[in-house]
Amino acid sequence: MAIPLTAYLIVAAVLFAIGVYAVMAQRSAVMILMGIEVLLNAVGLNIVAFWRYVGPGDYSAQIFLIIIVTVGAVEMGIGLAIMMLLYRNRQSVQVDMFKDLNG
Amino acid sequence: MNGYLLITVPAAPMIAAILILAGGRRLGNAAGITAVLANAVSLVSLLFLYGAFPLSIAADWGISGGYRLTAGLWLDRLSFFTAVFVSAVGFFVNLYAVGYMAEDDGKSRFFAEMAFFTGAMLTLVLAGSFIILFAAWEWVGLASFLLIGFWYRKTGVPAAAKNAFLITRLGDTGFFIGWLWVLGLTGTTDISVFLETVKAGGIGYGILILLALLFFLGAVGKSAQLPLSAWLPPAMAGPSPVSALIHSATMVAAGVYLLLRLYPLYHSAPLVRDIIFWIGGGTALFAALSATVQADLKRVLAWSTISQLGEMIFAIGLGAPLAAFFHLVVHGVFKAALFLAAGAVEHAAGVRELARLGGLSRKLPVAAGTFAVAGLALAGVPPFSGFFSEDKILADAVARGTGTGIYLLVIVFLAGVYISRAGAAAFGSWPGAPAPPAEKPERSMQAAMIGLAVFAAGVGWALSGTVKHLVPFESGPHLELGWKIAASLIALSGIAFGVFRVYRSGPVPALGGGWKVLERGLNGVTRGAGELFQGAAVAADYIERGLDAGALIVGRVFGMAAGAVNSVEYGVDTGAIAMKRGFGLAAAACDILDIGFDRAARTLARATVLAADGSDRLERSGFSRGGDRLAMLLGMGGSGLRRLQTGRLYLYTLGLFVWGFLVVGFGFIVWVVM
Repeated sequence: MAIPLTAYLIVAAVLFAIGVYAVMAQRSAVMILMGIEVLLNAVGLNIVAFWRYVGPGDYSAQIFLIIIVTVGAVEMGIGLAIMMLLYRNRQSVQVDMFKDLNG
Repeated sequence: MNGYLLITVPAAPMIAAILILAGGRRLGNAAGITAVLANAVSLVSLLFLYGAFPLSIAADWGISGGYRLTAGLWLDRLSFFTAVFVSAVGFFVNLYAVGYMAEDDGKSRFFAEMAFFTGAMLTLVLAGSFIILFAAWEWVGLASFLLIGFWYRKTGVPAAAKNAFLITRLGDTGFFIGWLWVLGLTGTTDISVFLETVKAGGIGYGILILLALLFFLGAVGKSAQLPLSAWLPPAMAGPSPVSALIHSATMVAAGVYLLLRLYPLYHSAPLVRDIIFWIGGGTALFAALSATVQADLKRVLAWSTISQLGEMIFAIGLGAPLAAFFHLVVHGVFKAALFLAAGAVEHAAGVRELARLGGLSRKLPVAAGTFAVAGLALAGVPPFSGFFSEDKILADAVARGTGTGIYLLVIVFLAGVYISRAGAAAFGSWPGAPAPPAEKPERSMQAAMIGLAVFAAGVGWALSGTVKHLVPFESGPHLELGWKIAASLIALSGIAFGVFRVYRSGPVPALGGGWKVLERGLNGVTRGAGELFQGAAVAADYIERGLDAGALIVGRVFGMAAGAVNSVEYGVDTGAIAMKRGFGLAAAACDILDIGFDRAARTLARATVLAADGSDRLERSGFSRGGDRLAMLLGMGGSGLRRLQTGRLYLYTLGLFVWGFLVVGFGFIVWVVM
């Protein structure tokens, strides 16, 4: 009945792969932000799984996770604010529209 | 087996919501049918669970330090009957909505949100731990925000949705602090553990009162009691099935249900019950008076909801949870029926201002009949359902004092006045009624209205004898026959007065327009409550400014000290000038020596110039050409590297991940080799 550690790691790896794909393949900035969020959560899942199975007495993993979640929330807040400003300027959040500063 | 059934109850609408959302527009009418079926599944699984009390499924969500966060569902008599009521009303309202929303483009979004709404409310009712309860509490708030703002392109609608969300949020703050405090006290989020601790007297009286007040604040926000009532009337901006659901079974019922769920807490805090009594009673009267002046059919019903919720809160304040529960169920049924009838009027005639309605009883007989039955139930006329539940509240009120009983009778009279005024203005052919053209409502709307009307007529009678066996609250005192007759007569006279006013002078405010001032005052009061929260923030700002001023004073003291230092410096300067003069004399003497040195230096300089000329020639021929070549090389490299800055995000991220992969791979190889 107990779920082995490997199962968590596989789910986290799948999440990470989805996140990498979303960040690289999506053109909408909102989707890219979502991909970043998925990446963060994949890492968080790994941390918690390792905490539970390797060192359940040590709470630093929980603290790490809370920091990850907080950073994720902050990053979302700033990211979405930037999106809003971009949208107001160009009526679009397709990242390909914003390469005026390319080399 | 029972555990799975229990999970099915809230899960069925939630899964339906996901399915409808995934299906999107191509679902068409199937979206509504899915929502209706999900409610039916919840209802049927609940009925299978009858008698299996108390049933609890719980799991540890997380253990951190000394705190156990549990997640689970809890089925006892109270949550069972509330859940049955919620899913039954949800079933009828969704059924109605299938017809009501048939023409709307956003059907699938609508039904996904409706299913989510009922699922969230069922989770709230069945929650066994504070975390789940609070999460569901916020889901209900979110779902009502989405549904009130469903027609978000209409003017005023987004503002109404935002209002509802933010004003209830003021109350939620209290609930949030409350359960976090409970977690700190008991070390677990299990509600039954907390209630056992309260019953055993394990919590100090002072803390108990504060906790009771914090949870009550949450209920005030959700159940639209004073001073946080201002969100409910504008919430009429949503489609009518949404209003029916918000006003009966899902949103506003949550506040009263929370008080019932935590009733042992209030049982041991009579002081808080007195506060609840006054707030509930005040809200009931205030809202009933406001309802008599409204010009909009749905707004009359909105104010009547606030008034009826006030009566329930009032009953809890009297220490009569059984009466409050009974009225919650009965009111939910007849208010849903009233809103369905009002929705049919709006759907058919396209307007809902009372002055532009009238004479609809022939065109919409089903809606008129439903409105009449549910209105009589609301007014408390026997044998319709409201009579039985108001009876129970009245019995407890009379037991507290004759004055309290008469106060309640005034509210009953006002209920008769406003509901009969609304009904007569919408359906009756009063002289000068515009009688707008109306289309016949769809079959599913009629079926839902008839179903709810039957319940609105019968549920009070059916439950009046048995309700005390259904829920684990003590039954109240017995009401004397004289009071019963008085209540019925007063309800009838209220109805007669309301009808008379409409037929005599049209849908003007029934008791004079002066009561309009109440509604205007309310906005001020709600704003005041909001500003109280803001005030706390501003106070913090002032404290900071005080600290700033302190810092300024310290700065000035330093400035004065600096002035003193300055004068000392001036004295030193004067001394320095005197010394300078002395040195000037010495310098003149040195000048003479200088001339000698000068000559020697000139000779040296000439030699240096010759050497410099030599090195200049060397540089021009050799180094500068070399430097030019180097610069050219760097420039070429730079323009090559420029091409890397494509401005395409995916190339950057790809580079990042490839780089990361290489570093990890390299590290791995080093690790293996070492």
